Amino acid sequence: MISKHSPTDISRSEGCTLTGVLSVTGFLEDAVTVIHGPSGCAHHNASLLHASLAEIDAADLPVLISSSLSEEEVIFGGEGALAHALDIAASLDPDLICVISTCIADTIGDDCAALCRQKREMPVVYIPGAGFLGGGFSEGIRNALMSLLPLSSGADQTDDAGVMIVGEKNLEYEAEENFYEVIRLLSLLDLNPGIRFVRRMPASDCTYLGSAPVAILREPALHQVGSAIQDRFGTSIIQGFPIGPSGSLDFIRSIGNLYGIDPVPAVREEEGVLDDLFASFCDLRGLTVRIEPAGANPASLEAAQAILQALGMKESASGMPLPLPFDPPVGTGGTKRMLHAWRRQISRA
Amino acid sequence: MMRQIALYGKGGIGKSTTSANLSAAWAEKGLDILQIGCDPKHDSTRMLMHGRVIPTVLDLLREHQDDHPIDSIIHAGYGGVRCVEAGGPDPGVGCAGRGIIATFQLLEKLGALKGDMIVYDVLGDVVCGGFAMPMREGYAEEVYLVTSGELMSLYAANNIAKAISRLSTNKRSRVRLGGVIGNGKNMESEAELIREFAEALQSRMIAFIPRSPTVQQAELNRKTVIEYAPASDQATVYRSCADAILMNCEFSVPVPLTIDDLEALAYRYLKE
Repeated sequence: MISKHSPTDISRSEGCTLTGVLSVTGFLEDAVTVIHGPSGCAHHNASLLHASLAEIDAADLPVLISSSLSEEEVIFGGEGALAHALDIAASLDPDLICVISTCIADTIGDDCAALCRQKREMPVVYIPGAGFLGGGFSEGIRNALMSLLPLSSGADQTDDAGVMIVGEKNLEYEAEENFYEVIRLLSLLDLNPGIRFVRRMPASDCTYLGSAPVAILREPALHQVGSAIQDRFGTSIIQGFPIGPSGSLDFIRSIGNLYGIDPVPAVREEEGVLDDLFASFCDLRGLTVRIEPAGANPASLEAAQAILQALGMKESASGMPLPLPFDPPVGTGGTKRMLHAWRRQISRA
Repeated sequence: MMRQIALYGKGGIGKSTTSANLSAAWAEKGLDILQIGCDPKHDSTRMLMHGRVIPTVLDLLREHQDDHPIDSIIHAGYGGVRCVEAGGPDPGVGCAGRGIIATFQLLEKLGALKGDMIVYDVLGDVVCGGFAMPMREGYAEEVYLVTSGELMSLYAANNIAKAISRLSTNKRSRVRLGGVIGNGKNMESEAELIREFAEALQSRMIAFIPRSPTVQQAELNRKTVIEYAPASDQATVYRSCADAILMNCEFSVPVPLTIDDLEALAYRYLKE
């Protein structure tokens, strides 16, 4: 049984499982998501998606349908309401229907999975979304990705299978910048990205998940998904996006080795990019600063230490405090954005 | 002053039979009785209604979202006993406990919780918060445990005693154990065993109802014993029990037994 979490724990990574699932299924094109729960669960998350998408100037909201559970369904069972919502979803003729359970649906024990197994004209995927079972936002992302994997048997192949990107943080403000940083690094090895599992991905592409020889996870926390992809399709897995300056170089080496490409020329080229980057921030050299380790993501902290060292900056308790990004800086591009943030902080002091 | 009592006990132990006969006995005395069946089986009041299964509150809530006339919920049975069945979902789906809560909310909204006495006949065990609803603030202040001498029946009664004990830690809670009603299964020394069990709970056996074929005959004729065989010994037993509850002014916070103590007690009365 799942025990109670600390009531003071409000960190984002431990947030709502349903929101985590929606941050994946909401980015599947030609898919409809059914939220099996009270209408408020759908409304709250639709508002959140709307706000997050507006920040990145994306106006196309995903199609969300609520089974609108009320007290009547709580007492008598909500499977009828879910079946009705599924009928409505199917009438929209999507390529895929995702069904997410909410806390109340799992509390009353509705058999969502059984309803999703009933034959329809399009695949219907059940994704557990009840947060009271112990998961948070990240668990929701994992649940969604894991539930979508069986849509591919591994037999369907595309002619142009690039490197698969897995589990991008779709609600992250810098999601696209981080993706383009990975593309840039791949391009140094003459490689292309393939399926983005899942970001602006046609639902029909789920059948091709087994095509990519290599998959890059957004972050190591997705290792379960990585293992499942590896076991299911034999795909080689890179455990996370590159973090910080050294991460970019390690990333190039790892990818090169997996593809049997000599990575040395690409590494040299990236080292040059890094040299140019640090040269452009030479005004920060020798400054005494302070980085607050409490509550910081260890990967962000490690990247910051590497940057301090590269720029000959000194750390002291009395130094100027510098901000760390919520998510670790991805590659050289992320490092550059972090340095700009530091420069702004210093110039304001 | 209106009294609200709840009968709890293991499923099939005879709570509904006991409740219906008590209600009938009190009604004979001219008391205004409301009996509420709090079990999805919705058969608590069937004998009072001469075998008629009345529509349940939850069915009415489902069929008529806004309009709930009180006479479609409360049905007059034997002796004018007002009968209500909460109802519930089909087995295996939904949340019956929430159904009890919804029923109580509607009855309160309709001002139906009135009379000289309200009798709550609650399902076998307090499996969730919904089934503890009759024991919550504002509802039954007296709980009577119905049990036979069988270990599983005593076990269920002991569990309910735990629930009473826990609920009574709330300073605003006024729920107390009124006593134990022994409902015999023809076991040897059964009354003594139940009496000792009740005393171990820091309570008392308020009545012992021996097993009698009259009960089954009355049920086959779709009546309570009080109505079917008013001059029978069994009717006298039910009337005595009803009087004992009416006169009862000994209420306690029970001290539940450990499972080891409960088993040891039952074992002492076990006859090979």
